[in-house]
Amino acid sequence: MTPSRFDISISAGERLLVDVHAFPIQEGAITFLFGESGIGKSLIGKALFGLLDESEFRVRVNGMSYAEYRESAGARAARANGFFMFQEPSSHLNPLLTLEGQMKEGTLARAPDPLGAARELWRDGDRGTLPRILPVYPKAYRPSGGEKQRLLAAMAFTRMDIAFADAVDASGEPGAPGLFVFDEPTGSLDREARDRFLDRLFARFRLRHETILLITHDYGMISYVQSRHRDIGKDYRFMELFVSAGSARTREFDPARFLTWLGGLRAEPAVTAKKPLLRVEGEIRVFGRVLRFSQPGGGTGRDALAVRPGELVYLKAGSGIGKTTVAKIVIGLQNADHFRLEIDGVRLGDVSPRQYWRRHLWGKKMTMAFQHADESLNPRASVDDTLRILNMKTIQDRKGVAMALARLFDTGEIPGLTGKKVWQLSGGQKQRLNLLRAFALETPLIILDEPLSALDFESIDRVLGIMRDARVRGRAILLISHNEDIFDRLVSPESVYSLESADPSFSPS
Amino acid sequence: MQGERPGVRIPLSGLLAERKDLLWGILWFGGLALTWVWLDVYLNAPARILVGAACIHTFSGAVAAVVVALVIGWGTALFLHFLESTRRRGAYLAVSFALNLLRSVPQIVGMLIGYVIVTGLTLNEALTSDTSLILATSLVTALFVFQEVVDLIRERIRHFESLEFVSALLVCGIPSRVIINREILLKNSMPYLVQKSVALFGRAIFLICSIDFIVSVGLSAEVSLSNLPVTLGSMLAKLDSKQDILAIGTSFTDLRVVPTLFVEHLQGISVAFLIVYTLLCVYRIANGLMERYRL
Repeated sequence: MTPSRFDISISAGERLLVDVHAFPIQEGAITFLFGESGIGKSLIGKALFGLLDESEFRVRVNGMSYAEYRESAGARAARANGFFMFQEPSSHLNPLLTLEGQMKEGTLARAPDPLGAARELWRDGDRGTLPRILPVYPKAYRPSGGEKQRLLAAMAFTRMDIAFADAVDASGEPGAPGLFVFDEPTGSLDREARDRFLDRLFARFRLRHETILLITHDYGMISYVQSRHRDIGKDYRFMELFVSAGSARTREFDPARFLTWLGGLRAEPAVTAKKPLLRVEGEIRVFGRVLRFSQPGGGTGRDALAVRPGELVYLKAGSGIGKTTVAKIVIGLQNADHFRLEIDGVRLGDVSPRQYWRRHLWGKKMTMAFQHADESLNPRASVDDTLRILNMKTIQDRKGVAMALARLFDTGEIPGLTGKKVWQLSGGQKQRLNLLRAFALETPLIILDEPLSALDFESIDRVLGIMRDARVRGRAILLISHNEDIFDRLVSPESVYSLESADPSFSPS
Repeated sequence: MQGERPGVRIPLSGLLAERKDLLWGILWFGGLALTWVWLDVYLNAPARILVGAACIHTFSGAVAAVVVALVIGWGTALFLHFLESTRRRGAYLAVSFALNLLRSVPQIVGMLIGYVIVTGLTLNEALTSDTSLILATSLVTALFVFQEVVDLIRERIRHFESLEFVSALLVCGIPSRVIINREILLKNSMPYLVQKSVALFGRAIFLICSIDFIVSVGLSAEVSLSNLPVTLGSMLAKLDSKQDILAIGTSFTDLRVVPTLFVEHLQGISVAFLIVYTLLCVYRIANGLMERYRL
């Protein structure tokens, strides 16, 4: 890891996936890497750590073959003394070993208290949940995504603690520095849990300056880091990966740019006068749990969630509570043991026929943009087909498609985009297309599940713009998001709801 | 990032090593062409014309059987899906039972019964032209293979209905029939349908040749195939072909016969070769497609 700038090219077959020049990783510093999804951030992290499979990828790092790079002294030390936290926690964890076993596996067993770092990442009031999940063999649904992420972060922190202890034992002779790569470490965490993660990371970094690469879409981190850790500002930097002329490039990201933009966000006025377009009664029973809405300032009760025409309503909760489940119940894709809702004056519930949603609501009165654009778009459809299938008058031909795309894509990007298949798009492009499809329908109610995930800063700004336009035209938006830094500023407090589980054995992430 | 390197060309040898379906397709056509050239040189004209007609009738009959099987299979799968999704349980069970009943009939037996009906229609002069006879026999063949298409299409629909993109299209108000036909089957299942069609083509050739051989050898004195178009199967049952095939057997014990096989016993040998070689190549093409698309 000695060089501080890396030339990295990664190909799969004849396809050039990543080609970055002079990518800066400063030794003994934290590099935050932002950028939209699917343009190669994770591949860069894995390439640097030596994790890519040479039978699948052709990789060159600083002019060396990948085998040469992997065997170089710097890269070996970076791996031996570092840690890689994968983006998808389920793929990182071994399903055949309990979580506690994995927390004490390999070099982690050398830590005097291998579970100490995990305890630091749980809220004081929630620490009781940690002993309950530690004996569990990880499954797709248990523990929750947020809990898995915190356990993986704890493993990385334990590895840092061991490196620090080794350095102290060596009487001040620091060992070879490791590389710690955190790939989307907070994607399933609420703001409080994310901030606790950042605090614990910086606390360790202050003790020993490890080389850290933190890959994220969460620009909100900038405001927290700048407000809490500005005193060591020279030891961290914000970088952004972007695509220019078909190739990924990096640039310094000026935090002031984001902070100024964030400071300029103003809460939309609450809409109270109009009759709600959607009203969801305050108790939903699903999967053996009881879910309730509450509003900040008010106690948890049987409050109903109401969404009025022209209103942006923000529903938030920790990961795994059931926000997406509630959205799917409202849209009619998921049944529940009990729920009651009223949409445009029509009362519906758990005994209502599913055909009603199909015939009268979907695409006419409501639609939804799902959380994972990767999964909610047909990968074999072209961009053009994805929009034209909606059969909207304004999107009948290529010109109409181009006009629709122009709302979230650069004009110069559009001609090469329309004929492309969805699988050929980057994650950020897919997310923008996913959102455009929902907005293009012009339904009175739009449900958005994590609309800002996978997006870069420019795209976030544009998405907020089309949300504003939709509101102005009287569309109601029900929003689910972890991006509290942004939406807490943008949504009026009267329109913010928390979803809480009444199941005492269930804890939010 | 994500750029394609322009102008990259894969050499033909690499392409063929990677695409076994293409390789075996070329070998099949090449083999047929070489056989035809050989027959043109060494086989007498009337016999050669007969072999040509048998090839055309067999292959066109198999293609027609595949097309009919795809149409019937596609329609049946959609009908069953409609009955299932609209919870018409009685009708769904009745149709499923009828299909399972048909499935329980051995293909050869079922096709023999079908041929009896076709022969009856021929004797009553309801079917007179070669084309109508080929279509009728293709329909009989298709009736005993189309359920593979039904199973494939239903499996594809079930698989995709569990994915989020179908839900996402539904909440956009896209009708189910559009999602199933266009988004699931046309855009996401073409390799599966092509591979299945190739496999069915091989199956149809095998069944047509088997049935025609059995019937022509003389299953019944009353059923005459003299009015049915000649196929590779029925040609194998002819006296000349039988003598040619007998010569192959003789060649194992008397090596002097071997050189004569390729110039004097061409009709039976070339017909047998065309059947076996075609079945081998079609099997390899279907397997190549499975490998190429990781089906």
